[in-house]
Amino acid sequence: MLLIAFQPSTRSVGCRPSCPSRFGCALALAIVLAFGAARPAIAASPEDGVEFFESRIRPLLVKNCYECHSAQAKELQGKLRLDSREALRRGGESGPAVVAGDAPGSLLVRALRYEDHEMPPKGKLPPSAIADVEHWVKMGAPDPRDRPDGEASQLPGKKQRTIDFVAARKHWAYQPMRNPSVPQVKNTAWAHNEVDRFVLAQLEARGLSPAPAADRRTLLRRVSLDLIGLPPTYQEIESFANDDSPRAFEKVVDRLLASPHYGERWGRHWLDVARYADTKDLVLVFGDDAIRPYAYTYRDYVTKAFNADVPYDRFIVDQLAADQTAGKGESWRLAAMGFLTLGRLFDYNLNDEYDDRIDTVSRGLLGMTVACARCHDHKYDAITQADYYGLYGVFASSEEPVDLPLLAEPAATARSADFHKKFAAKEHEFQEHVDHEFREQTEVARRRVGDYLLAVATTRPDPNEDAVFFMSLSPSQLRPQIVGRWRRYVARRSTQSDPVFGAWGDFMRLADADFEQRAPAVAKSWLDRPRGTAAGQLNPVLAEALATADLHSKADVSRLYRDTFLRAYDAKTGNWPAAPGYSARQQLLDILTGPEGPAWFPRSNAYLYMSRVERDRYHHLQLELDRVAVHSAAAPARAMVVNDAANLCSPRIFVRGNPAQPGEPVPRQFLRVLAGDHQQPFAHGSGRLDLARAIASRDNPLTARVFVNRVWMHHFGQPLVQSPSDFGTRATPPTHPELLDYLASTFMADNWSIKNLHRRIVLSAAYQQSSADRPECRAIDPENRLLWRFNRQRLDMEAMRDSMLAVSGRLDRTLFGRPADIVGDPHCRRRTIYGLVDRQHLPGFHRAFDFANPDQSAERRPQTTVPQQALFAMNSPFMLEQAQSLAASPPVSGKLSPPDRVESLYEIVLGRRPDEAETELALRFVNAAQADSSLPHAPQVKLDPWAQYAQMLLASNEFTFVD
Amino acid sequence: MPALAPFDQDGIACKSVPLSPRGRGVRGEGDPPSASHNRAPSLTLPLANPAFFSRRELLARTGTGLGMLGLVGLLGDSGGLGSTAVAAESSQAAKRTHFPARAKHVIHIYLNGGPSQIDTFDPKPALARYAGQRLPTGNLSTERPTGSALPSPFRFRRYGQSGLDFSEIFEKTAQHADDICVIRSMYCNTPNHEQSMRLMNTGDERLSRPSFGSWLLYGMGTDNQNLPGFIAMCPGLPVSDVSNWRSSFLPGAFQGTYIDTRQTRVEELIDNIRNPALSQPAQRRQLDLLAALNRRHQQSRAEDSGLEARIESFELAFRMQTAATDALDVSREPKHIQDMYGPGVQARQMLIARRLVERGVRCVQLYHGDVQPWDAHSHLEQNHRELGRQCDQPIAALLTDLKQRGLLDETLVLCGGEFGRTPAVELGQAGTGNPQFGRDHNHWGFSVWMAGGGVKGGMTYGSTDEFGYRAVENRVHVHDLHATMLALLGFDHTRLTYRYAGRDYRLTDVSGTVVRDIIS
Repeated sequence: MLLIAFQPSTRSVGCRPSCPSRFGCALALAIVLAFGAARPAIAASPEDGVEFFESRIRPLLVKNCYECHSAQAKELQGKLRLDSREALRRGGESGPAVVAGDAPGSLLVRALRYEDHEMPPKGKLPPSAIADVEHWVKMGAPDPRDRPDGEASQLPGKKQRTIDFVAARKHWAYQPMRNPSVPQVKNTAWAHNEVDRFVLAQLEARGLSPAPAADRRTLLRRVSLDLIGLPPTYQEIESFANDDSPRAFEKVVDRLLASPHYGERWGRHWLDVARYADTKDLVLVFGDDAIRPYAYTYRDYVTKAFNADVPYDRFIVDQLAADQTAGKGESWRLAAMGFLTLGRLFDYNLNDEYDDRIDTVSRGLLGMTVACARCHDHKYDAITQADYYGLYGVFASSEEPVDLPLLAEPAATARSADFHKKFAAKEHEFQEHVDHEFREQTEVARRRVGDYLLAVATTRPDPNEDAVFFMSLSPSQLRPQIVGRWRRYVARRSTQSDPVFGAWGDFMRLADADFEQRAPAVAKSWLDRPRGTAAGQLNPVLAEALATADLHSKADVSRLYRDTFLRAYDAKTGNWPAAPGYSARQQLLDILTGPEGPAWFPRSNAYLYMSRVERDRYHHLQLELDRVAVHSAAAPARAMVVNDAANLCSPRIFVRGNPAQPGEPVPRQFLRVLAGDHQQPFAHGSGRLDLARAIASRDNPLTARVFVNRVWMHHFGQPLVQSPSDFGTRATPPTHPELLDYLASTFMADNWSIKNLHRRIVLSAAYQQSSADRPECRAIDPENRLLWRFNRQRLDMEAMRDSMLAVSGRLDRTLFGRPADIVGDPHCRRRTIYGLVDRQHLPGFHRAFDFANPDQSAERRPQTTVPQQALFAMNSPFMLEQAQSLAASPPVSGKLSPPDRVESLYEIVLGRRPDEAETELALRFVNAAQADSSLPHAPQVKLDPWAQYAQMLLASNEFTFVD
Repeated sequence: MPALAPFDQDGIACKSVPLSPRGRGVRGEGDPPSASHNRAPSLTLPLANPAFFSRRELLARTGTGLGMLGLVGLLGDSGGLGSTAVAAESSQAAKRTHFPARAKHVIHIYLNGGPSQIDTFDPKPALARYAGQRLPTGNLSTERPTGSALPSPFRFRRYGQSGLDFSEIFEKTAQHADDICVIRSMYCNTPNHEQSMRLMNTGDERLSRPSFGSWLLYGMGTDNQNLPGFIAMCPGLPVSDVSNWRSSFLPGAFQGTYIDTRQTRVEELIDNIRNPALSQPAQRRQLDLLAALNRRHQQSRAEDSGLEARIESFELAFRMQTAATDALDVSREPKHIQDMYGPGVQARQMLIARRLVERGVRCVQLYHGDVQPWDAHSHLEQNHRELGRQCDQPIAALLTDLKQRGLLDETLVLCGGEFGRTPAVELGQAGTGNPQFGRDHNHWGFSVWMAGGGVKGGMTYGSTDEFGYRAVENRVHVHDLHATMLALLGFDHTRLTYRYAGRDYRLTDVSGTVVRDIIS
């Protein structure tokens, strides 16, 4: 089980308000060990006991505990009920609440004393009340309640919800894809293709009609900005407006889809889903140090993939499992795996990293909110914790190597050789440190088994063992995580039949006071057992030590076990007591060194076990390695891959999402609602490739639907399903369910070609409609859900900035490469997609212009109108630079007459000629600005009047919105 | 072709849209009924801008939590966004919360790094009895090993009619004892700065979640359209930096506007707040031109309120240039006021905070300093004494100033850190074992205080154990503090929700109990 419990606790993870885990994982912190003695019950008649219970204990429980721990609880906490004798003794997630006769060993008492749990959470009960409970437990916890208070027994909690998968699969999104028949429409002349018939059928059903076609100038601007994120030139507009060929628009679309700028535009849309960022979200790491040196290779992969029209199913497989599928000469595909590895680091909490991957994969590719099932089954959708931890196992079985694969052969220059020497040295140093610490910490953890067992035998659980990461540990301190794991491990094995820890359990149940007196009897009872490694026997190595042991205290017991384990560990050869089948020594070694044992942790987690000094060094070396790559232009591109780990994770469900409470094992597997009730576990390694194939499957009802909906959203400004990353039962169903299925099924039938999907959409008459208002239609469908017109859209951040650069003649059309400083450097002319995305310090520019939050997979961007946007347009150095450059460009400044200049500016910026009134307005403005600057006390105006004018054209609504 | 308005003429009068607050059924048909169907509409738009969210987004996002229905009515059925006339209306709607708000603003004085409760607001004379010895109750586990009891080096006195205890390092703040409520039973989860900073600010230790101020802007909007509604000030950057004031899945404009108060020039404080090339009249002329261009463009698109909203945003931005400059310029204060706050960056921050709140800014955070100044792992006496010297007078002045302007009643002042410190001495970094008169982080128990905004003054709430290690009586988790603050601001914390990634999120996650006893 410990294979997956290697990470300290996550505490309570976020949850919807209706979530039952009101106290997060607080209840689930400790394993109960009955430390105290099983004293004989204080002499009292049964009647006295019941009387005491009725007068003192029951009222106390009702008043302070039942709210959360009874059949009446709105949401039962910790699966613990205190409203019947049986429930009290059985206990909840943390074990039995009461051990009759043993007050210090009873969880209830310890919780009331605030020793590990702190109950009731509102405040400690008065000492007298706690004393009553202690007394009652010592009496043997007499309890007449054979049925739960209040109502009939219905264990364990009345709010248990089971998911009916058969019913759940009836949800529209989980239904198999249909190939819907194209509906009949009245206005057959309007439809260009099948898409239009689906749209028109719904319009006609509501008594609406489609809008007239947009004029050619409007259409070209629309489709250019849509497909490549850049406006058409005036010449392009003119030539399209004058092209009479019936295929004119098709040719335009083909030209745009063939442009390398297409991948920049649509790749960026995907990067929103992939929560792409260039930086690490670490504390006190700033500037270049925060840059992930190879993040950009994922961005470039995405751009290339869109440009190459990589089939979407392959695109998925690349991103999840290129390490296993990229063919010879296809190393470029490896970069796709940044999809998994570019998420946040969560203070290096691996459980959160896996959660982020589960979330991005499930919402991003499937429109399923699987991350909701981290702590409990999904409240609304058919997603269980078993589903979540099935995927958890996949990602926990995948590791990022230190030595990332090269994407290109490094250049053979002197500078490059110098870099490689430096880089290799740093990489070596880092690798050495990890290797050394892993060896060292593993060895220490094993060798100090006696100290760990002593802690288990003589101390109470400390919440830090489970709940806290980043302890500043000294080399000599016991690792709290390992202490906690030993406690749980020993507790689980302290059963009457366990050949190793059975005896331990019996010793520990003795009271300290009479330990010495009673220990020999316990020893004898075990020595009387047959030797062997099976249940009910006594491990022969342990037996030899026990036979000669002189036990005065529980500490002595821990030493006995220490000697036994170390004997097995240290001896290279020797005569070992025979045990049939499973060797006695091996049984001990498996505990001490095996992956299910408490001292084991994977290499990738070694940093969690380092002392403060060594851990600081670890992070420092890692930083230095990245720094070398960030600061050298000679650093070759590498892919941020994961590979299957040497030790695969066999996941267990974390009870309430708490890694310190591993529950039922689950196989690495796909989501049950999609895979069927009798699915096979993933068969290959981590299962990543199986997962990828299960997603990128034509039988998967969600994958294509979710993707075509995203594409539709970017074309029309509105999706068919309003929540593009949530197709669950709480999502509003599609406005055009048949159209969605038509698009999805033709998409798959067309070999998942994204470019053909674009063609199908933009060549439709629906896409080519005018966006003009028609009040009579607006009255019926105010939100234009049925598409009686095209939606006017505002340029997003990238299209806005890129368009400004383009029209001012300054756009640097270089493709790919390391991130550029588009915010700090107003002279930077790269396309916005190449700008550094700083996750932790997202610049004001990005925030003001509704950039997708890169913390998590983003389904759609917010659209806000705030004055910061206007301030940027009015005052930013970037805007002033574009304006000046535009006014000074030869087509403008070369014109002698002012009206010609105005005309030229209109053509360049707005793609049309000004009318008379517009020209007049321009001239009046320029004249006034010029006159102003010639006044004797004129303000220090440094912006040329024509530049001032050009700036306002760039800031205008006509430029910013697309009809 | 209609004639153009000349560039220097007033813009076309804003069209007005009839206001009809109606509660239409706006959620999906299968959705559970909203608990707030029958309540007064309560949400307004940040920066009072009707176009802040599109109408669709409002419908999609605001879940069942807030009474958004009236607002949707306000926006009208124009198929998109509201209009200017709506803006005025919705800024009044800013006051409509779940229930009447006691506080309209928050000033959070953040003593980052973890001030020691037993050296400030929670005297523990019993520690002296064990000076240099192990505490009889044992030490609790914190980030680093700790040793014997370390009594406070500071003198405590009782102040005000209420007799509240303050240590000498806050003797000036103590003059306001009767307005202050000290919560002595705070606790959190983890003895690490990063996590606890985020918990205090966002209600979650590690995940990306909106900060308190962002939630507040989302819920209440702001009273001043010319200034950002949430401002976070720090001379430098606190640990966990932006995640302390981020908006996360709420739109970016809800994020705190960060101001590095080491800078003093306004251009360095707010992006693009000043045009480097144009005088104000020249820029006015430019904006008149822009308005004329935009009005013309709008004529055939009159139904699209998104266009109108953008036109308005330029006017707002123009005003903001002056307003922001003015608000941040403390040199405009009379000398006696400046003297009252005293010299130094703490004083400047506090004074700016007052100027902002006075102008209707919703939430202001002031971090004491770069990284974590209060993190006294060694030489606590010198550290706390010096930091107290820096901020005591400015805090006292801020309270005096708010009070004399009648602002304290409507301004909730919160002061404290992310956790407290151990009563036992720290045994040195990485267990070198050399105590250096410092204390380790302590998440088991610590103090914060609040004043104004509907909080009962002159009281302590809850207590720690005999030595100040652990909160034992009337314990208040950070979630409870958040719930209480939201209650003072007029919100039921369980109903201030936002739908994201398939869930309704809230500041207090699944926790939080309002501490009624401290509400006056």
